[in-house]
Amino acid sequence: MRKLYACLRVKDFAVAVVLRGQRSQPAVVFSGAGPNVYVYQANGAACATGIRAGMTLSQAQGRSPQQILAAEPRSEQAEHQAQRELLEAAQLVSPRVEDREPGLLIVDLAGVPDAHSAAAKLVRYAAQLGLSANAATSQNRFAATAATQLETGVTHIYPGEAVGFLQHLPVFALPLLTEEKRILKLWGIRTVGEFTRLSADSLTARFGDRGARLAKLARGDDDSLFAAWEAPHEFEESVDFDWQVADLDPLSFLLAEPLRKVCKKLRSLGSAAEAISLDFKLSDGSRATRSVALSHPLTDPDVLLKLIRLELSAHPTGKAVEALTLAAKPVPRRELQHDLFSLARPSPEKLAITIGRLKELMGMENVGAPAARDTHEPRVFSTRPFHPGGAKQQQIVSALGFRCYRPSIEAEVTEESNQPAHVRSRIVDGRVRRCAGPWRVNGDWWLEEGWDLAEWDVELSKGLYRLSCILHSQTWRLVGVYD
Amino acid sequence: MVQSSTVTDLRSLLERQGFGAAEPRFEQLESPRLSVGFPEIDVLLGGGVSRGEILECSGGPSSGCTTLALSVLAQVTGQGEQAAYIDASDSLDPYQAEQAGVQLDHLLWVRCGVQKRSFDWRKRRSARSAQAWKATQLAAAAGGFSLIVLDLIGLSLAQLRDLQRFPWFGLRQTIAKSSTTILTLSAEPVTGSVASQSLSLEREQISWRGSVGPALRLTGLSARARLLHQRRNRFGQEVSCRLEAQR
Repeated sequence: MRKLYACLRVKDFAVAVVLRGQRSQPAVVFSGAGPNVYVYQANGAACATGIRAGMTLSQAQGRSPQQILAAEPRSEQAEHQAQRELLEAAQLVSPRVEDREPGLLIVDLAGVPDAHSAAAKLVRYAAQLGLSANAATSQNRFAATAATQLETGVTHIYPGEAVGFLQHLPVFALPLLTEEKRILKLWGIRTVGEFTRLSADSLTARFGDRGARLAKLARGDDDSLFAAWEAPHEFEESVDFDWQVADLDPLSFLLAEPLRKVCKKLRSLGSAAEAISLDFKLSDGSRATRSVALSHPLTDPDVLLKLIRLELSAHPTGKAVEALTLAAKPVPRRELQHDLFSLARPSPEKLAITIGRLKELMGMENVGAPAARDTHEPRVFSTRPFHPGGAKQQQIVSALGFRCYRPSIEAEVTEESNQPAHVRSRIVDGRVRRCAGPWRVNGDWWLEEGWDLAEWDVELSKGLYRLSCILHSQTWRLVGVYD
Repeated sequence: MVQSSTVTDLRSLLERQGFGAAEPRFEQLESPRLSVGFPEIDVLLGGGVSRGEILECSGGPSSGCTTLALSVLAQVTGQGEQAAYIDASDSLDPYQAEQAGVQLDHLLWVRCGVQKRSFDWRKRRSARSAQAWKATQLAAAAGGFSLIVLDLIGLSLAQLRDLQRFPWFGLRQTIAKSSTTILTLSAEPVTGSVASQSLSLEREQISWRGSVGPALRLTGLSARARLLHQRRNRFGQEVSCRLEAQR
């Protein structure tokens, strides 16, 4: 099968994306913030007034006093989206599309019966997206790419004419570095044809491996690999119900099928779900979303269904459901290598269900691995997701256990010589035998809820307690007991 | 393998009477044991805490129950095994646990009584103990947790009495064939005869160093451990051990 490629190029892509369909007026996109706002890209009309990329925005605006200069901030997200739309549109012409760079695609037309109309279709699809594009067809990808840069509309380079076409191109059509351009200018090389007449040895001696590769390109021998673009896989299933579903049991029955499909897709691509999100369309037209974060990536639909049921029973939608969209967040599947000499750990599926049930019982934030909060306030902790890793070497020391009272217990304290002498609270009442302290701790003093504490270790007949005096209010609290 | 004196007496009696062959000859495999980190208590327990069984530890305030639990947790998590801490009174201090060598990544902390509060004190009382019990059942049924600490110390006597009515025998059956050990901490024994070993801790002395005021430092406390009962009949034995402070 003969080789044939089409190249589609959207000139000044960053500008074209932001100002779709408004290419006649001078326009720039800028990046940066504050005083460091620079022109990132300018369209042809703006370049005609002398505006160049790298100028400050105020310089650019000064260059076009007579005309209104459209200036918009650069949007990488919009560029990414537009590139994706172009690739998807190009796949309507041929399944093999290469994503070269933003605004530049190569389409493999091998097997496509009418290359001319295919190239015209590409330009038309781009126009439907609001992007003005040039297209070229050739057996040589470099020739087609160069043609879209230099010509407008649709260009056809017929078989056997590619080398001749390249001979007349300016040498700067080759992918040259700045230093290489300077050297070729010094040598007086102006066209690709003149470049091909240079000896291969001198090019290699001067430019190294790049010289040999540039010479091959110039001779029409483009041997770079064609990297076909593949649309990212989406693990999403939507279901519209014929009737409204209000109860959990029928809903989970209806969820089973889309979940099974998503899991099958995940398994076939070597992925697993890290999280499941559910988007419900409710009977009153409103929407509700629920998500299930998993402690281990899973692909078992039965386990996932149980976890979704637990989540929905803990957080019901409140209204009947008319439609739902189920999406899985994929991560590469991990194969666990168990140790022959250590005890079995909970299986990820069982652990996920157990943690899900515990969270339903205790509340989401009350189950997990202990984690410190971003504060120096003593005895303040929360939980984080339970993801046990490998064992770390940690020194085991004999440390006295301490039990916190959450919340702390109000206490009446009698002081003698600025030390606690007698403590009375709802759990303990007695004279202080010995005490150590005070240890001052304070923080968040710049906020209204700042804390300033003086803490004491006090030995009573009943036990050894930690007493804390809140200095702002001069109130005492029992905060814990050594045990 | 540690054998009780009763078993030794019975075996010698069978041999004297000519029934030596009637005794089963299979070698009973000793299940691997967990060290509690205090050699005196390990000896008292016959080599440590048995896997697949329930160890009960009871004592009043500052008797060292929490120190003992943290020490066992440090041994377990230090080997890369996973543990669960069912905290009925939400009193775990993770900072102190880390100081004791517990690897917090390997510890599943279940804080009971925080979520479902009720204005009815009877419901609230039962909710806390019921939550702790249900969480323990779930963790035991999951399998793979080497140690489940059921911390009931902050509960009132009425709550402990509620817990005594729960099916502890079923819980023991759940973990019997696994490597999971359950360690219960409480002010008073709650498991009855279900626990394979029951320890009672009692504070002996609190040690200080330095003079009065800020120069005074808490250095530790010593506790006396008493074996209340054990399946192999070593009950009644006592040891003293010292629990160090680490600030």
